Amino acid sequence: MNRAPLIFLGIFFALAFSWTGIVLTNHLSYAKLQPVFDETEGKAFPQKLPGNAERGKEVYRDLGCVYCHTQQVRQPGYGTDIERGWGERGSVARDYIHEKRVYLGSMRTGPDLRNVGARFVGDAGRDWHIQHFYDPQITSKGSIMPPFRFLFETRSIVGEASPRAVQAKLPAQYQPPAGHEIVLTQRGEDLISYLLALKDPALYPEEAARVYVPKPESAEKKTESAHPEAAK
Amino acid sequence: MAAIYYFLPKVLGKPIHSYYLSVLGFWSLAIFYNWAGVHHLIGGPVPVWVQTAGIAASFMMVVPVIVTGLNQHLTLVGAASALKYSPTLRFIVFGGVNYTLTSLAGSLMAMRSWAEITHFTHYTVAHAHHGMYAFFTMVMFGSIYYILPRIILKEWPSAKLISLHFWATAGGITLYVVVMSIAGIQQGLAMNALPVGADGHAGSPIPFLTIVANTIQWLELRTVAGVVIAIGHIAFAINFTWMLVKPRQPGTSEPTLFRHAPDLEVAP
Ligand code: HEC
Repeated sequence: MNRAPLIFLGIFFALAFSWTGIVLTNHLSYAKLQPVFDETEGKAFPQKLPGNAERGKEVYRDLGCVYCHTQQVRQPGYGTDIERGWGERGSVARDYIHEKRVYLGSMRTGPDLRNVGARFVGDAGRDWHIQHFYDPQITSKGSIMPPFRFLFETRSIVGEASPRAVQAKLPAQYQPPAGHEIVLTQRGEDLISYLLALKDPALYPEEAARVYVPKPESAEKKTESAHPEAAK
Repeated sequence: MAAIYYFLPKVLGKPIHSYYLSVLGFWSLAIFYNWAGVHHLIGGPVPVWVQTAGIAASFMMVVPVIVTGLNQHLTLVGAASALKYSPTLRFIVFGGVNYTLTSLAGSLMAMRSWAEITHFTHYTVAHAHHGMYAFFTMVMFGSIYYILPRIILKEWPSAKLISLHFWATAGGITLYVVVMSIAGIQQGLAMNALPVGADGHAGSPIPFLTIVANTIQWLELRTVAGVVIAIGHIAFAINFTWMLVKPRQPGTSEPTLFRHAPDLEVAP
């Protein structure tokens, strides 16, 4: 008995069904999401990352930070992400629409980083990251995050000391020998720019209507109108 | 899976228990497994209905798993003593049993309440190794022990090394899965805890670095497990290289078994 047509149909059905489940349903439910224009701020959210942060995202990928860090805040009441200060709200699909590759992650050996830009801000934040990358033990005693010291370069001072030297931010035992300075490499600069820029905006009105949020006031200032052009 | 279905009857010399169960197992697996993939996004930033569909499919996975497990178990029943002799069988049966275990654990992990604890923790790592090593890799080892002598027409040089390979990898991966599961559950419970403060209200979360510190002892045991597994791999590598370089014996040869089987033939 020739079963080939039956087997072919079965395989076709199985593939079609899984394509429906994995590609089609997801495509239908959030592929068309657009940035939301906020008239009070005159900007569309979520915003694109600035260029150096976009390069920093490549460094993040390159160094495998995603193996230990997630970039997705769980919804309030599910886990304690909000209580831990990892975000003011749970992440929604719209947050990721500008990203070609998302680093949602699946393991929290380290904290969630989706809103790390809200925790470490400005020059103080930059200094924290410098210390932390040079040796996590400086800022976080007992951490099992590896040092990323290759993001720095120790070099002898030729002529004048570089304005970009960072050794002054490091504790005594990390000081380079006399006549040398430690500078942050371009990759290091980019990675830190990325971390400083990494945060999600207040919740978009459409999601606020659907998702439970602890602070609805903060979402109300957003308007309903969406102007996708404004994101360009 | 196909390797188990092929080698189990081959080694035992009896047909698989039920052809129809295996077909049912095949198609239900082919249909449900794909949808189940979404269970990796439970609690994540995708619409809830997509997650729910993934959870439903993950539970439907119980069907192929039970069907396959039963079918293979019933094939082995009455012939289990062959496990004492055949290296291929030992690896493959270990793999098959762990397929059932890890798949059922996987369906449970799709439950929202269980995922709330285990997702993002070492428990997931344990589960991944349970599937990829305790099931898949072990079945592949078993298959290699069967296939290679038939391809290069030489027998495995040392039954002792095969035995060491089996016990080191089986023991190592079991230790690995157990310690990482404990680590993950502990880590997940600590991450989600909001200890009640002095005022009687749920307080603040346990500091992240405290949780990190508590996992370290388990991670050390994980290293031990990894070393034991590596010992098994070295035994395998030695046996393998030895087999490649040793001269081919003229005439017929006997398979390398753990013990000499009085009679491997299974009564019909
Ligand atoms: C081996 C796992 C591991 C890897 C890989 C890793 N981290 Fe970490 N990370 C941790 C742990 C554990 C902590 C928590 C303790 C600490 O602050 O160091 C942490 C903390 C952090 C923090 C502080 C977060 C906070 O809110 O306190 C930042 C920022 C960070 N990591 C960024 C990175 C970046 C960027 C990379 C990639 C270059 C990276 N990590 C790679 C484990 C890791």
